[in-house]
Amino acid sequence: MTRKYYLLRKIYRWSLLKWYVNRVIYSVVAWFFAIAFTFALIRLSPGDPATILFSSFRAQGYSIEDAKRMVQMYIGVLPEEPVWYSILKFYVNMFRGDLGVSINWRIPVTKLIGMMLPWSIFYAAWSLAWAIIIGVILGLLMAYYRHITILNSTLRVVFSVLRSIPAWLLAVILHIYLAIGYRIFPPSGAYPAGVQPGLSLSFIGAVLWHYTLPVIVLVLTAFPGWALGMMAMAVSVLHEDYVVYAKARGISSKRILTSYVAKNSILPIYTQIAPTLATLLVGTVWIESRFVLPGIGSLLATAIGVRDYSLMIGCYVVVITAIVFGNLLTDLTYGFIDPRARISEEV
Amino acid sequence: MSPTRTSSMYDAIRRLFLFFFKIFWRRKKAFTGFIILLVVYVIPAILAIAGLVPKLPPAKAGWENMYAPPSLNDFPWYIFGTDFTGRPLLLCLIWGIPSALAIAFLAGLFTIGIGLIIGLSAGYIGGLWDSIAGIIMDVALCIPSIFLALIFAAVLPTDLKRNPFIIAAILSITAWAWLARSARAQVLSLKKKDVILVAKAMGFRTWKIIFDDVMRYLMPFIFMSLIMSTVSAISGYFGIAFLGLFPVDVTNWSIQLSQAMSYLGALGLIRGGKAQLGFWLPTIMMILIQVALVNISEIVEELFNPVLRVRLLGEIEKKK
Repeated sequence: MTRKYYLLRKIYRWSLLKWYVNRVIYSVVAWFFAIAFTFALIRLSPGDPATILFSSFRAQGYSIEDAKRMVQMYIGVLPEEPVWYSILKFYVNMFRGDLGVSINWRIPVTKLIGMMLPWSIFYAAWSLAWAIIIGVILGLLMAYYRHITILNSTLRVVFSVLRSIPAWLLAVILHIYLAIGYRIFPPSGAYPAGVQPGLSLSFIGAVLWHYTLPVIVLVLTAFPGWALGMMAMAVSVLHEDYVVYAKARGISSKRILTSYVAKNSILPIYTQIAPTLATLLVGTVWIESRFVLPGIGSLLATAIGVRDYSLMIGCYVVVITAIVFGNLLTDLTYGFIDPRARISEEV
Repeated sequence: MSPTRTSSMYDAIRRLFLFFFKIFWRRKKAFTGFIILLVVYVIPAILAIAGLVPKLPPAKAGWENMYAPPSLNDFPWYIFGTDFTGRPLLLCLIWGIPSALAIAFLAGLFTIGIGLIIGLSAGYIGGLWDSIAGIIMDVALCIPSIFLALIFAAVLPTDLKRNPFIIAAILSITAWAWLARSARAQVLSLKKKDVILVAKAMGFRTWKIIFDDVMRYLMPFIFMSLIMSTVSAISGYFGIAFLGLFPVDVTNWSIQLSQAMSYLGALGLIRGGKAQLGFWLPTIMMILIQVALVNISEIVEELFNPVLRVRLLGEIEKKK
């Protein structure tokens, strides 16, 4: 039996491996072009950073050679270079770990980003976890109690309003009222000035408390999408024969929800994680700067405010890398968690 | 024109109106959204462009003119008080509508225009162009549109950012990718349908088939994307303006909001202070248009569904 299908299985496994390799190559190509395209567009636009920096250094009284050297040091390209050459130079520098020097802080961009990145990862992951948990539970409950029309229609109206409010606007409203006006939540910073950063309980508690309101903002804007998607999937699962049969057997509704419906409807929702992560990452630009939290978002907001070009491009590269990597990871792992997808990929 | 022809045209128009009314009446949420859009946004915008709304008065300096409380003089322009420059808040809000609507709608049009051109041609022509378009779509898909727009808003010089076409273009810069990919998938599945095969066999031109037959199937989808991309363009436009990347302009709701926010925050006057109206009215203007558009998008499917149209019109005929 096993001998008989040996060749067939080998071919299957090879095609699967080929699919994985293809996927990785495709992602790397997309990542490369996403950065090159933006870089070229910025270089070709009327506000080309290299030219602007060069003329500002010239205006400060530097000689042409000195100004060129300064531009080269800060953003790694020269104003008179052709675009393809500066893109190539940018990539070579990037793989050497050199993203230029921040014009605002006068320290290497990679160092700045390295300091800020852990905070952003923590913030995005923490809010994503809450959004998924709340969204999935609410979606399941909404699907199970869908015959209670008042509850459902109220929730639908609330969700449609919540989805229409942009995250940055919600951050502004909650920040000014709950943090500044009524002083319920801390208005700024990731931890109070008196607490020493470290692995102590008081530090972790303080950080979690300071991140409460920012997390609420992101969760409020992200969970309705999850709840609605979950509900749609769960409703279709609830009509399956095995759920009807389980109900007829008198199995408790809690058991039906957790082990019959949740397991089968959560899988397709899994693909939504990467897009949600992308929106969360972009939303941090406004939210982190509003709540004065450390992170890539506030770094980018400051960079944009003072036109710190090298830092801007550095933050852009980091966020795009995170998004491409997230997409790739969901694609690659989806086959492991959902056998149906694995079979369709193989065939 | 013969009398019968006019009457049939009249009849058709009447039936169309009845059909629209019927659909909106069945779906109360969409109806509310439509009314909000019309009363709060479209009619004031038309009045403003037609010159029936007075121009903005010059700014009045002075502490007492900032966020003055509502008053009835020069009715009705001062019923919401004044803004941070001492101008009437209501006028500032109304004059902000035309540009906001224009930018949002233009961004929506750019998005569906580029998306459809790339998606339809990739799906229909196939071959090498399909693979090139596939890579372009994949690249655009991994760049969040608002994020790139943010970078461009920071890089571009100020005089370019006064042009609504440029703002709409940078807001829709990669937003078309989802639409293009879905349009391509739709075309690929439609290609196998008998209708298209017959049209091809009858010798119709490729573009005629795309526009007459393929677009017919895609219409609800296109309309939905138009509304959704308009909504995200509004959110992105005001978000970027809030960071101070567009030229300062009192008719921009986002700039009104950020000024009121700094005023409230600096003075700690949340409880019963001035500038409450200056904070909440621009916020409501920004949220309400998105709520209205999202609600309208819920009936798009029914609006373009021929089966439903025939059934509804049948009901109308029966009642007669």
